[in-house]
Amino acid sequence: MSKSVLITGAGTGLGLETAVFLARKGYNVYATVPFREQYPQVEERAKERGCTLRVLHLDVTDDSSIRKTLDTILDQAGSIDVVINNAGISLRGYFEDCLDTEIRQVFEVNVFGAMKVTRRALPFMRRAGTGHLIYVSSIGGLIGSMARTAYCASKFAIEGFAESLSQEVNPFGIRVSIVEPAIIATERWTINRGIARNAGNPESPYFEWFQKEEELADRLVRSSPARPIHVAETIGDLLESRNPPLRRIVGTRAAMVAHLRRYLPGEAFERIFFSQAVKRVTGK
Amino acid sequence: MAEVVLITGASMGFGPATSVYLAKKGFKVYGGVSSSKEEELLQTTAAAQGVEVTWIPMNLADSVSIGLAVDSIVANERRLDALVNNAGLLLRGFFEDLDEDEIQNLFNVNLFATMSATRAVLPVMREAGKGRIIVISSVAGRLGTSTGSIYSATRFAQEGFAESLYQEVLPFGIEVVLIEPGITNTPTWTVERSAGRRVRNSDSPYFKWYLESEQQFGKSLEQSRIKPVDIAQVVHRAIVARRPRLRYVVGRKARFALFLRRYLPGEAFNRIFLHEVSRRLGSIDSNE
Repeated sequence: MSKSVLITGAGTGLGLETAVFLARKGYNVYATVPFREQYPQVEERAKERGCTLRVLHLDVTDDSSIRKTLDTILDQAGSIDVVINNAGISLRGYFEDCLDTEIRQVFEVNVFGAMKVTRRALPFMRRAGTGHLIYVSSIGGLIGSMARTAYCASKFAIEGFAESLSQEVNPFGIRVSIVEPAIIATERWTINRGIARNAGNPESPYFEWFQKEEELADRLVRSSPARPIHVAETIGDLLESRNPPLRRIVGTRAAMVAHLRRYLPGEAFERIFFSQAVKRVTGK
Repeated sequence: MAEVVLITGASMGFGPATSVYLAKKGFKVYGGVSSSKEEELLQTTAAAQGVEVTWIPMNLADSVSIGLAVDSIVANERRLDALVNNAGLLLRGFFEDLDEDEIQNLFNVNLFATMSATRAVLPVMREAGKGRIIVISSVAGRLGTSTGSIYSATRFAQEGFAESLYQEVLPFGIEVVLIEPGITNTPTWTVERSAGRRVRNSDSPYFKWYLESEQQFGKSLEQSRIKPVDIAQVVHRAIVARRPRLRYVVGRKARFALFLRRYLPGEAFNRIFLHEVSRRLGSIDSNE
């Protein structure tokens, strides 16, 4: 029987691409979305690409919704073999321009949401003596960057959580992997990029820098060869690997930057890369 | 005029040692405390060392209270040169044995209080065109370990926050510094006080492993050669250095582990570590 896969945040972008990719590979994919209005677009995409996706409602911030959906999958499939924690929101803005409520919301979804889903999925996986938990983090979970302070904090948090968890559940036969994509052009970028409410305020001491940073980020995304399918393929590889790695970066540029950071001596990377980043935006 | 420093959670962890050390070095030190018991502890410590530390009430779960504390310091002193985000709690337990409210509390104290205090001091520092924001993290902010999933999540988050913020405020002459101590013996982070409330439930599938981890942790605490004053010294260095580093690791073992992780090829470090942990936990089961 084919393995059952639960993906959160599968209504758009990387989640939807991954759902379709895995379904075409023969996995039994449960594409879960936080808004019921997203059902048609997911079903349509599946039809277009000639595969079957089972669409279910799941709001990662709501424990009862998580339990209900997991029960449904267990009833239908008999097991939950893979959970892909993909649901996430972005927040762009210098720290002082981000409201506490906006920052909390990022953590509710990106961190506490993933933890809640993990908590409910683990007992089934432990009982089955097998399972694979995947966390979609970001290169921003490895390297901090300006105007993404809260987002990076949330992705760093998931990195620390998943790395620890991998050691706790490995003896039960449960694997944990973290996927770290570069910024990739998806709806998250074009439509829903999560700009902090105060970031567009000309009174902000960061206003001009933020405009410049957004411009640079746009240029970076446009010139990036990384595509959603690359994330889907990476996840596919992880699922097929007998001994999957803990971390996998998606995007050659991002991988190169992370590599530089690791191997440049002392804080050379921080001195060079971070001051360059500051200079590009402020001219200072 | 003396430079003014605010230390959050001044009675916790490295707080008393750091407050006293900085006061001895001539700083005007404000220590944030959340109860009269904490205030007493801080005062007794300072008096015994013959220095003065001014306490200031601060509820770490409440950003308004943190903001008020900062406002009153600025009103008194007309300056605030450094913020030391020292408030921090430890939480040990396998993830499935930790409760939502324990997780929230840890994020409130370790991460969101850091953010609130930082938010409160930034305008003053921007106006002054200088300032230091010190974030006391942990080696657990760089390495995740079993029974430390939530603790590491909060420390990693502080790292991501500080590293991003570093780039945002550098043009204003404000420097952000992370300090990462290894396991240190302090009165607040004992074996008993840092455990989640459900960890000793014998129905937990992790129960035996937890007991074993507790022994290990107790041993590490006993063997630790890092003293709170070592962290205090590094905090001082980070405040007075002309050009501070972004990160200071405190403790030889911590430095060695981070070195291995960085320079062993690929994921060799993680693989070996994971294998070792699984082997150890597995051997506990087979001893039944």
